[in-house]
Amino acid sequence: MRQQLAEIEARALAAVAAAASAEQLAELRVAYLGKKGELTAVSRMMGGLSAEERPAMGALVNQTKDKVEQALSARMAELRQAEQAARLAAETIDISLPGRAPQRGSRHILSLVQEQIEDIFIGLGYRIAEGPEVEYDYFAFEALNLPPDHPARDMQDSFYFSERMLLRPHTSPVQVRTMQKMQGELPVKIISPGVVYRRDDDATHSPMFHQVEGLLIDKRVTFADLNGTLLAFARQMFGEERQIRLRPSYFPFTEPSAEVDISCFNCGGAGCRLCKGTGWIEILGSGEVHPHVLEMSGYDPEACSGFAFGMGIERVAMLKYGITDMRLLFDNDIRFLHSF
Amino acid sequence: MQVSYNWLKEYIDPGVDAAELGRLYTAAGLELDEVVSRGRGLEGVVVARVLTCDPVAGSDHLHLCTVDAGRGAPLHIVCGAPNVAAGQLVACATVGATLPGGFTISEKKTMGLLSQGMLCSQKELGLADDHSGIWVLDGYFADGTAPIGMDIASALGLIDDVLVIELTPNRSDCLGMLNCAREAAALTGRPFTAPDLSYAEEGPAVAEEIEIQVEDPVLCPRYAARLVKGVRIAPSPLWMQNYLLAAGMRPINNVVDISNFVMLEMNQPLHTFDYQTLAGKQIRVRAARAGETMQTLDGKDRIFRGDEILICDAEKPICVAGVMGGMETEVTEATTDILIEAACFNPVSIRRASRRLGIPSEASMRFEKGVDVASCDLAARRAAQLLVKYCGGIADRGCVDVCAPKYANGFTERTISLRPARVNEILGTEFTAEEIAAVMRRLSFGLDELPGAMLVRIPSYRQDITLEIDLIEEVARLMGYDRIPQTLPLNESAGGRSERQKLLLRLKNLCVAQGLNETVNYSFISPRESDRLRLAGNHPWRDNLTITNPLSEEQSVMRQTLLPGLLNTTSRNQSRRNLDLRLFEIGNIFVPAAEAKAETQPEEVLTLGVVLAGGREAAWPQAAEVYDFYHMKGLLEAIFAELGTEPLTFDRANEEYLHPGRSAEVRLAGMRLGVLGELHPETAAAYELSGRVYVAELALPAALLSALAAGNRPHDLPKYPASTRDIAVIGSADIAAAAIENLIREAGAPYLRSVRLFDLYDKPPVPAGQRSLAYALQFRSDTGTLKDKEVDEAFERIVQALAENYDYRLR
Repeated sequence: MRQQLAEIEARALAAVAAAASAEQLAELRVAYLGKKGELTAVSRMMGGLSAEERPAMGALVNQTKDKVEQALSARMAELRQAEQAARLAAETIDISLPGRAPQRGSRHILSLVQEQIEDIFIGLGYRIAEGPEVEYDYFAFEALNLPPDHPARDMQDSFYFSERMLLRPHTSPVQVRTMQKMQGELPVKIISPGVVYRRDDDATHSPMFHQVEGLLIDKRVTFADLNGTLLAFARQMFGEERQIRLRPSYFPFTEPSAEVDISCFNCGGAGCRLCKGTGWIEILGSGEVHPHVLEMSGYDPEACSGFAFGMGIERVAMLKYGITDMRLLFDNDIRFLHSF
Repeated sequence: MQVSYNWLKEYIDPGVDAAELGRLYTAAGLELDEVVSRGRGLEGVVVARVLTCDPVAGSDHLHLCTVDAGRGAPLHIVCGAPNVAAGQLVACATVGATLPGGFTISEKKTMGLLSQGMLCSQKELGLADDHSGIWVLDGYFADGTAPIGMDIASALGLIDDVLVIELTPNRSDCLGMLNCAREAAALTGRPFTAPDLSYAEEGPAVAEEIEIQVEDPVLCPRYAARLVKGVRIAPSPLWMQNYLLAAGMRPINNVVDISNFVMLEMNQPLHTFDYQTLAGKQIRVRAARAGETMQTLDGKDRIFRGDEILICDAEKPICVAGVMGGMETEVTEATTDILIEAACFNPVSIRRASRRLGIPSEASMRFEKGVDVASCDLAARRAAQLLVKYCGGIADRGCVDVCAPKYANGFTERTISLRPARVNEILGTEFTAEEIAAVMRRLSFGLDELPGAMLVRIPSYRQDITLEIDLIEEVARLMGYDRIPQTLPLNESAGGRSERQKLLLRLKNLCVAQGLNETVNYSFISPRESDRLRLAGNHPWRDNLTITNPLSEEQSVMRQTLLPGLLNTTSRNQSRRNLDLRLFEIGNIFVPAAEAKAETQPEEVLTLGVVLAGGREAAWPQAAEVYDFYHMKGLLEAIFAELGTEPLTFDRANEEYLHPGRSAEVRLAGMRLGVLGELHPETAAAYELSGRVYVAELALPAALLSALAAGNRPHDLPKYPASTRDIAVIGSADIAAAAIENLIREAGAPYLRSVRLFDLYDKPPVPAGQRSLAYALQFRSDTGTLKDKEVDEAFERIVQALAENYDYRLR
């Protein structure tokens, strides 16, 4: 019987090893371990054994069954793996074919840059104020220390609907409206982004363009604060190594006034084509709010002071993204739009 | 302002070269544009005399000249200038000389004749714009002293540097060389020397020879006149011509040049009259009368409106004050007696008159910006002095000087109190009182000490300084803006966007997420867009807010719709073969006020416009796709779903510019937001668009944005599983799909949670006029797992409702 078991085991293991499919393995299971299987038949013969022989023989039969069972499972696992490997191999695709292109939308560069500028000033504690594009002369000029017939307000520069109403040539009217609404409350800390209009049309001017202006009024806001604020802006917008430089200038609504240059981010200040060899790039106009402007909107210039600044979003965008022709910004060629 | 460095040196030796002076000016707010070099690079261009000058046979304008250029034998030169003549002193470019234009002179043959040089115009030498003929140097040298053969740059003292300065409107004082020199003195610390104005007055008193009346001192606060008789009209001295040319003015004759020289020197425009032509030897300054006429010296007849200021003699207007003189009293070759006017006129009147008459000039520009009333007579004196010195005139004694009553006690100096503490408070600096006082002294401002302040006396020529803040600016400017520290303001506030602003930004990003590309189009459009859109004659979009001074008609009315901008952009892209277009814009439209629209702010309504045109090309593995109505509709639905609104609803639209069968009004909670649809083929043709183009335009009024911003969508996941059933029904194609869906939703309540159309079929075997619709339905309860029976009952209700209401049967 022992011999018989050994012989069955050897035959079974060989057959399992040779099996090439799950079906064959199932047949083998039936043939050896099934109700009419060879090993089942051997265990049935146990009854003919003596009580002394039976336990040892029983253990041997079970051992053999386990071995065959293990061999069956192991072979089954092997076959499954091979089958899967074959299936996966058959599923191989050309990974060099192009990917499915999702439809890609894009923000306009001006809208993106406006958001970037807004975010920088929001980080510095500014709110965003908005106002109408069609403005009254009073808010656009008079309340900004530009009375009628002031030489600095050239009728040629703005688009008019009547003597009284025009397309705003800057977003400064929003500052006036904000101050008048706040009725002397401090601080006034806003930026006003938006569309503005001037009568200019060439490679560097568009009759419609975008500005962000800023205004801070509080108990004591100095020219040095303006300098520091604009430095913080320049560094966030154009890189941490930037320096800024103030140059005296004139705006009717600020005094002292300054044009602000940033050190050239293209050459680092050594001088290049972008900065016309000067190492500096003009970026915005600014100054301490003129006492008349404060007074006209209900703020006492002896009790508070402030600064204001204004920059063209087009200019910032063109500098930052290396765009040389302003007309591209309003041409809306899809290839240009897609590049941002 | 063009500042000649040579001229400046008449008043100050800056001790630095032109480039460095320009840098100092710029750092102080007088921005240097460029330094223009004059008279350099003219080596080989020499003073020469034309000996003979004969017409060239066979040419209608060429002359063959023999020219003594100090080179031994006379040169043969062919010259085409109309004014060439024998005996002239000229500027001759000899062989080898290179002109400023880069042209090198060589021997060449013209019409078979050898030409050994070139006689030059001022323009060819880069000295002036005059190209009417060759530059004739006669009169620059006393008889017999012409240095024939000498380089003209040294012979004529041409070498100079001109600082071109961009002046800000507040510093119009620097339209005068004296004030430029004063500024240079303040910047360099070098002494300023005012010109000596003395001269002999050998004639009778002016007051005996002319009577002056000013009717309105508001129009003319001061009118000073001096008289110089017996002058001889001739070219002005060479140095003066050089200065004028450097300043950008053309020399005319000694009297005109002196007048211009003094204007440029003192920033005080002068006018010179031929005294003998003045009727009644009277000058009256008065406002023009409406309809009055006069011939100005450009030969034009001018009709006045009534707000111009006129200078008149006893009979008639003789000059438009500050703008242009009259023909009849103009100084001519025959003039001998000159009445010099140095006046101050109302800037606003001058500005209006020069604008309206269209004759801006160096003089009117200065009056508009305001001249120094206190120094009118100094300019008259300077002019008289030069007329005596360079025109052989004899000056009358004194001056007739009519001043407004407010100047009866002379011109008082303006004083301003300046607090050093205030300076530092505004600038954020720590300048000492002594440093601040030093700045005032450098500017030649007078100073008196007060407790805690200094009283600053402002010279009359600095009209821009009227407030303490103006002086604070002077301190900042002269100390240098590089001395301003960089600090951050000491205030705390939480900045940020309003809810509305955040929502708007989100909307933009949602559009981008839908694959749309943002565009920016002009707010002003052509009035003809209404025709392209095929709008009815009484359509409200035809009644636009109109710009009175547009750059072109194409940009002359404020848009009430974003479509023209978007459609023109679409058309432009298509013409460049950009055929897959998914565009959007968010911008204002301008709805005019009902009344007085040009004087009343329009309603500005933020609006979303979308265009889909063309489609996606096949890109393996995706097939080509052409945009249709449902792309546009789905895109809008997705955006608003994402914003968390209730679903948009759609009704048939009736707009002239849209396809009547493929357009819809879009509503949200009953409020009409706008329309979407296919562009009408004729509108598409008017914009030269190819293929079907889909547009949408939705208003985003403030109320909508606030409501959206306030809204908040529940985000809990359902607790119990859903059951799904598909239903396919068939019935009349005339029933709107939305009606069927609404009915399904009603009948399936309360468990029906979603209805998704997954198939529409209207081809055989479906009979004509009918269609089959297949929906996937999802049922769910919030209180427990639904039993099959409950779902079956709901399904049955739906089947019945469809049959009863619309005669739709299960397929």
